[in-house]
Amino acid sequence: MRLPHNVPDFLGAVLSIAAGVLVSLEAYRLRAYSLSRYVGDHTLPAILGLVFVLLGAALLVHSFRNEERAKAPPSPHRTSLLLCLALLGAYCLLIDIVGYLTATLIVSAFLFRVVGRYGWGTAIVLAAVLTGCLYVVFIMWLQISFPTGFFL
Amino acid sequence: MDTLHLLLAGFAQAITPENLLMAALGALVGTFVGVLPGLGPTSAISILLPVTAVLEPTQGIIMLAGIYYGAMYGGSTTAILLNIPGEISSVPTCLDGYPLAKKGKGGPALGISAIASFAAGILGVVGLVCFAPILADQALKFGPPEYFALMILALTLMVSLSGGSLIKAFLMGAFGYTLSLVGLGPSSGMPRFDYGIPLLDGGFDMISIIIGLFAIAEVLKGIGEKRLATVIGAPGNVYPSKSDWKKSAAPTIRGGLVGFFLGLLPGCSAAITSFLAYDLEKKVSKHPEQFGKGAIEGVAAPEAANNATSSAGFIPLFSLGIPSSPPLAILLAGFMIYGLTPGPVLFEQHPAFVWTVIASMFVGNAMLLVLNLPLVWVWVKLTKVPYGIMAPVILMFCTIGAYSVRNSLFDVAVAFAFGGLGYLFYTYRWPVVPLVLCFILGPLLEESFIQTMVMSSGDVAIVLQRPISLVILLAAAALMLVSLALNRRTQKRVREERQRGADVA
Repeated sequence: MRLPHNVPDFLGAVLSIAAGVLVSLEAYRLRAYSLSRYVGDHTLPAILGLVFVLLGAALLVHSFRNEERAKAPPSPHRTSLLLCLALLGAYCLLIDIVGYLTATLIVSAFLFRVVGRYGWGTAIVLAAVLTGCLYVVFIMWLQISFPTGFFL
Repeated sequence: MDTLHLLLAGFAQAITPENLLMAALGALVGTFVGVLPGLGPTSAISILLPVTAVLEPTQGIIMLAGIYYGAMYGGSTTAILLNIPGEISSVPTCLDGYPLAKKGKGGPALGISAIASFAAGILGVVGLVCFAPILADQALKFGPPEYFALMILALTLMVSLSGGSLIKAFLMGAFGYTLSLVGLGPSSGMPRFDYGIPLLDGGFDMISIIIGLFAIAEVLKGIGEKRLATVIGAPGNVYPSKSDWKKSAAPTIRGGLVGFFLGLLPGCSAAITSFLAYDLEKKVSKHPEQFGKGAIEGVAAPEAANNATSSAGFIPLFSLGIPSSPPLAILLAGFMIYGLTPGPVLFEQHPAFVWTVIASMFVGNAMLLVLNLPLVWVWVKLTKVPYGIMAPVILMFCTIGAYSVRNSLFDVAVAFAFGGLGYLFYTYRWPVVPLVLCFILGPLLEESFIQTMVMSSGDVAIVLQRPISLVILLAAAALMLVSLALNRRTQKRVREERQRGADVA
């Protein structure tokens, strides 16, 4: 079987066609709530479903052409990147559990360690300064209310 | 005469101490963020947009306009001193700005860049005063079919914002439209695309998506590339010499005119005009061989064109509600946060607001010049802040920005998710601006489409039967062709410069 020249575009095309099918199914579901056949909440989803499928198919064909091979820029720091994304995900959960300030202190210390490669001592000091500044500006001065967590 | 009175009233309002402070703060903060390596005007405005949400509309928009101009200037600073153009429109500035910096003439290059930007910005604002009300006056005759045609016209922007593959640009646009559909349907009130998840009933917040796609993705890019800020040598005196003035005057005027008149066309971005202005200058110069080696004219012309286009972009934005560049698309989101929909009725319904903002652009431009020339050393020092410190700080600001709009952790999660997606899009060259543009325009397109169809009992041909909508559609077709041609030319030039070693962010 002939493999596509541009695998990322090929995958993008497949995802686009899948999205087109999903959007069309939703349009079909919404059709039941519309008074008119052509006008209603289903109209734009129906058009978009078609656009996704047609353009996805065009990209699929294009991905087999030997024009330009998309290559991901080599990232020697992929581990830092993935760790950073994982930390951000953990941050979302932590804010709800331990509250905004504690979560910010913990996660920013890890971020300074991962991104800046500082020692733990420096990372914790930087995190404490950052959290303190955010507290003064956004909580004390601008009065934004953040989650306080389960313990408060 | 009315326009003049309104403008004077706008000035009276713009120079109140609070509004002056907002313009100054916006210009300063915008430059501050724009100067950070790798953060262009779009990312700068995305990061700072939620910060302005605590202000009242006029002050908020004045600050945003200041941030916009400041970030544009900040982008030029990194282009000249570090050879890092925040956006493609700054690439021509790098071509001669960086060689000048290497020769120890970075200061005069920054000075000329600020002065050329100021002069062209003023030209653009004068044009805004003259043209926007006329355009908006005509646009008052618009009904749903005309608005629908206008939305089609806005779609032509996708060509200039595609950054390469048109198929990918249109697919990203479709993705943006789809995201805008999540939530309650406008005609039935039934939830769409919620898949039984109640959090999705409220739809996605556009700020979270913008912060994710631009600001967080930018930080991730920096981490992926292990970005470091390094400044070359001392930039020298920032005030240009007499000979620099003499050499730059005509290129500034030419660049400003090219930037302004082409910038009036929706779809003609600052990237296109700055390259055109640079090439024009090279063609009319008596010493074209000096271009690329440190010709001050090569800084003045693209900078003037860039800023004139940025100012001219406010004309279709204010009068038609069409953003012609990525930063303006984010500004449009800013307008919407305050419940203001740019377009024909904006001049009619909120004249005081519009004219205050226009007047504050004069003030903001002047302030930028006054503040930035003496402060250039501060900006140079700022580029030395290690990325390892800046990245976590920006991420924490992004979290607050995403959270503060609706006080929702769901929005924070969305911002982070789109940050990851944005990084993938960047890696595999899927343009994100069409997504944002269509996400913003999605509800307007759907509303105008449904109203048009109801009005015509389901016959979409009504758009072709009404003169104004027909003219808009013809203009859309013409613009599409012009944009395609200009875009192809700009892509070719960018490729050439990449091959010569320019680091296009």
